[in-house]
Parts: sequence; C-alpha cells; structure tokens
Amino acid sequence: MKGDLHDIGKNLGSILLTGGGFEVVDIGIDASPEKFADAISVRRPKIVGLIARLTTPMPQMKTTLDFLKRLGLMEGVKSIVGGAPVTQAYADKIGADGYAPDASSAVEKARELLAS
Amino acid sequence: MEEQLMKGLKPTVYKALRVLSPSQIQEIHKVTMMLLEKVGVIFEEEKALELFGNAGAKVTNEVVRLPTELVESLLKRCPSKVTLYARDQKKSVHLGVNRVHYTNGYGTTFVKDLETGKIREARLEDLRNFTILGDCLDNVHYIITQVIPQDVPAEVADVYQALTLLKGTEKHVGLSVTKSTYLDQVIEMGRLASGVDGTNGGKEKFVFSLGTVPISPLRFSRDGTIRLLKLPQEGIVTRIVSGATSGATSPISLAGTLAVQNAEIIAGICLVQIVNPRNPTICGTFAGPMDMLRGKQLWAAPESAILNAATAQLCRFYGIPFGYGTGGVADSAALDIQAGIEKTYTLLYTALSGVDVIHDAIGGLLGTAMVSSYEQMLLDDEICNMVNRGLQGIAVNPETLALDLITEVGHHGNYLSTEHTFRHFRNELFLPRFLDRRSFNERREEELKVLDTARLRAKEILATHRPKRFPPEVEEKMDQVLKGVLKNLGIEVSALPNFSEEIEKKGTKLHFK
Repeated sequence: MKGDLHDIGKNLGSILLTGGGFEVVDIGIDASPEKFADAISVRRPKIVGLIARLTTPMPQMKTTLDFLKRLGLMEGVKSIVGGAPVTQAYADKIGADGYAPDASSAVEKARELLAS
Repeated sequence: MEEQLMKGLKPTVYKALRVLSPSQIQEIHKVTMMLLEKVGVIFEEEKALELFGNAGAKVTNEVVRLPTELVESLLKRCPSKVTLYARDQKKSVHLGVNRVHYTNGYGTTFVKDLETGKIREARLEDLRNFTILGDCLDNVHYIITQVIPQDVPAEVADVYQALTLLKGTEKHVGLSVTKSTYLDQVIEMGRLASGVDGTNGGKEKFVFSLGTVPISPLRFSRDGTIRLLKLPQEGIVTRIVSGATSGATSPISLAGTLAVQNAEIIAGICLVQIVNPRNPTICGTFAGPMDMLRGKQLWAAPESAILNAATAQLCRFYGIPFGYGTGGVADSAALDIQAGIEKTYTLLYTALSGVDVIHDAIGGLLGTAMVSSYEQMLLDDEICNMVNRGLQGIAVNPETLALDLITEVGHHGNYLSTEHTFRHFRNELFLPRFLDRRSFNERREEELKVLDTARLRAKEILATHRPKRFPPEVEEKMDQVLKGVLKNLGIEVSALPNFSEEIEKKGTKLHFK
C-alpha cells in the first residue's frame, strides 16, 4: 500500500497464504494503484489483498480499489483488506469483499471468498 | 540504592547467564561466515554495491558475498565500546562495559487512553507525553519513538517524531525513520540539538543515534541501505537491528534464526565500517517466533528472550555493543496477569543475560507491541527496579555479615530495634512504589489498586515534569526545519511539538493543548 513501509505484516500474510496453498504475487510495500493495476493485468489473480499497518495509508486502500474498479480490473476478482487499524466496518465502507484482522484469518477469508 | 540503580549493573558483579557454550558459538559463527560468503546479502542500492565491490566482496546483481577474511578485517574496525551522548552529559550511556540499560517502548499505533481506558489511535500528544515520562524515569536510559502518531500526515511523521523526541528530553535519543526521504532534515535537527556544526571531522558528540532494520531473510532495502551509507559519513552512531521471525522469515530452529540474524547484522556492520572505519555501530534484535496459530510475531515467548540471551553472547564474541535488545513487551492485549507474567519473564531473563540495552523495557507495551499503556509504563519501571535489585546480588563484608550484632542479640533478642537494621534496610531491601502488599483482609474487593496508583503517578508526572528547554534560538531553528518540510509540501503548519506550557499544580486536572 502506498505510504506504508512496514514489511513484516505483509510478508507474514504472503508466507501464510503460500503455506495455505495459494500462489501469491507479492508486489511489495509502498505500492501505488498503478502497480496494482499492472500486476493484475499481467497475473490475472482471483483475489487482490491490501494491507496497512498504520492508519494514515488507509485512505489509499479506497483510492486503489476505486482505481482498479474504474479500469474494470476487478471484474471476477475479489478484494480483501486487513492490518491492525482496519476494521470490518471500514472494509464495508470502501466496498471490499472481505476483511481479515490478521494473517491467519486472511487464509480462511481467502478460501471463503473463492468458495462463494 | 537509588544512585546505584541509576548507574546500572556494576562490571564487578557481572555474571551473565549463558545459553550457548563456546563451541556452539563457534558453530554459529562458522555457519554465519558460510552464509555471508556463499549465499550473500542483498543491498538494494548501487552505491553500496560499488563500495562492497571495491573492498573485495563478490557482487552479483544486488547480492553481496563477503569472503571471511574481509568480514574479519572489517569487524576488527568496529569499536567494542560506544557512548550514546546525551544533552545532559551525566546521562550519556556507555555501552560495552557490562551494564544493563533500558529504554521506553517503540512505535505503537495505538494507545490505551489514560482517562477513558479505551484503546484508540496514537496521537502526537501521546508521543509528547510518553517522552515526558521517559525523561522523568531514571531507569529509562535513553528515549526512543514510543508511538507513530496517526494525526500527522504520514509522509512527514518521521520529522515530527524526531522534533518531539529531541525537544522532549535531555537523555540520548534513539531516533527512527520509516523512510529516508527526510533523513537530511532529521540529521539537521539532531545536529542543532547536539550543538555541533559538522566541522569536527567525525568526532562529534551527537545526542542521537539512528539506524536501519534488514528485511529478513538477508536483505537490506534501498531505503535502509541509504541510511547505512549516510549515517557513518557523519560519524553518527549507526544501529543495525534484525527482527527475524522464526518459522516465517528465518528457520523455526533458534540456531538457524541466530545464523540468519547474525549474517544480516554483520553484513550491515561491514558496510558501515567500509564507509567510515571505526564508526560507532551498535546492533540489536527483536527476533521472536511466529505464533503458529495466528501467524503473527510473538514478543514475549520464552524463545524471544532466549534469542536475546544468545545474541548478547554473540555480541561479546564479536566485541560489538548490543545497544538494542528487546524485553518487556506483553503479547497480552490487556492490563492483566498475563501481561505481568510476560513482562517479568522477558525482562529478568534478558537482564540476567547481560543485554547492554533492553529496548521496550519501560514502554507499557501490550498486544504484541501494538498498544502503549501509560499506567503499564510505570509498572514496567517497577519491574525494572526489581530486576535491578536482582542484578545487584548480595554485599558480603564484616558490616553486612554482622557477627558482632548477631553475638550481641543472642538467642532472645530481636533485630528490629537495632541501629544496624535502621542503617541498612533501605540498601538491602527493594521498596515497591506500586506493588500492593496489603493482607487479604485489608484488601478485600479492591482488586486494582496497583493500576490505580500507577495511573495517578503517570498523571502526576505529566502535570509536574518538563524536560529542560533548549535556548529559544536553537528551538526556533529546530522548529524551522519541520516548518520548511511542511511548507515545501504545501501542508499547513498545525501544532508543533511543544513542551513549554506552564507546569500545573499537583493534583489539578490535566488538559492538553
């Protein structure tokens, strides 16, 4: 997420999802909406995940999701948001499909989204 | 006793707990050298790769592979003793001399509100308040960034934090930046606070240190590498702190985690020593295992403390000051018994292991270092006082053995009314400030007196203690640096970190500006 330079949570999420049988494309920290768009166009994922450790980069989650939706890149793609400051209410507000408070629940939520 | 405690552990009584045997240290060392030579460490910055190449390392793409002879010659340059200077020189911290020190906590985004008790987002006023508490408490030997304020723009948070800490204490300041964008401005503020102008050829007494954290496994980001290049150029104490997570970013085996961490720290030190031979450098760890059920890093697991103890031994083996160990963080998210267990275990274990500085020790940190609690910070100070008493051991001499006294009292007398008891009870006994030692009969349903007392004390300090101010012209120049950054970004200047308001009378209600 642009404006967020904390690696650990994102790395753990990526590690656990990989361990849970998912193929993960890690686009790194401080990722701009454009970087998300590029990765989605090329890799065609089933789920896009966004994580923030701080409150301040959270508005960027909405900006990114809106940007991707405008480009039509979210058709058939689910979104999941998480990180310590993020809540279910916030996820609902910005129109994310799923919310996960921590890395291990992200795996469950991702499975749930694919099953739905 | 007060004075002795402030000085920390005396070299003469230093007998550190050892978790590694000498041959185990050799084995870890051997594997570390193999990792550095065969696997290598990534540095995502061209200039660093060039310097490594010129020094004799093998550089392929961004991977730096270091021959053992090169590592050994660079490690020899690293000073085994480092002074973290303070504005008040009496409060300078001397590392590498077998003494245990503590800092406040680092970097939470949440705070347990002192008035409401609710967990909420951290604000700039919290950073200011925790800095005031740290400045006041004698066991806090240097001050670090307690919270990441969520009410200032993220891109300039580093600059706000630096200004708050530098203005807020006479102690040494362990600064942190999450990005190197405003590194020059942060250093400029630090220079102003240190009263140095950069003309003393790298022999400046900086009142702050700075550093970076490798991204385990075995990688330094571009941003972090920039700091490893810049800080030694200025002669600033450079901190390299690894935070490998066993089972996720390093092997689940503690030995494997130590090897990864060791390789990262040593690679970082090598770069610092290439840039500026003999630059003061300190290392640290916040390694811990991953919670296998929840996928997050644990801070209060017994393994976190053992990793610290082993790191202390490795630091002594290499002769590098261990200026940033970790202890006293609760994984429990509440002010509860679990928090007390976790804090006491990790603090006592790390202190007994001879960690030079235990960071987070007096930070009131809860919930895997995500939440700061004011009242818990005071209780952490109490735990550290108990730990210090434990480290002091027993004074054995004719006066304390008291043969004459025992003979005189004989079989039917008592010791309470003797001069000897009066003379020594303050030196011999730890006297708690907060622990509740009343009998069950007195206590009854009053379960939370410890927390209530700590809360009152926190409020009292915030109402009555202020850090010593800089001369107005220095303060003005420091403020100008932040104002300059804000102006360039077109951000309106709101409240600057301020410690100058009148101290209120004891017991009056607090309000913040």
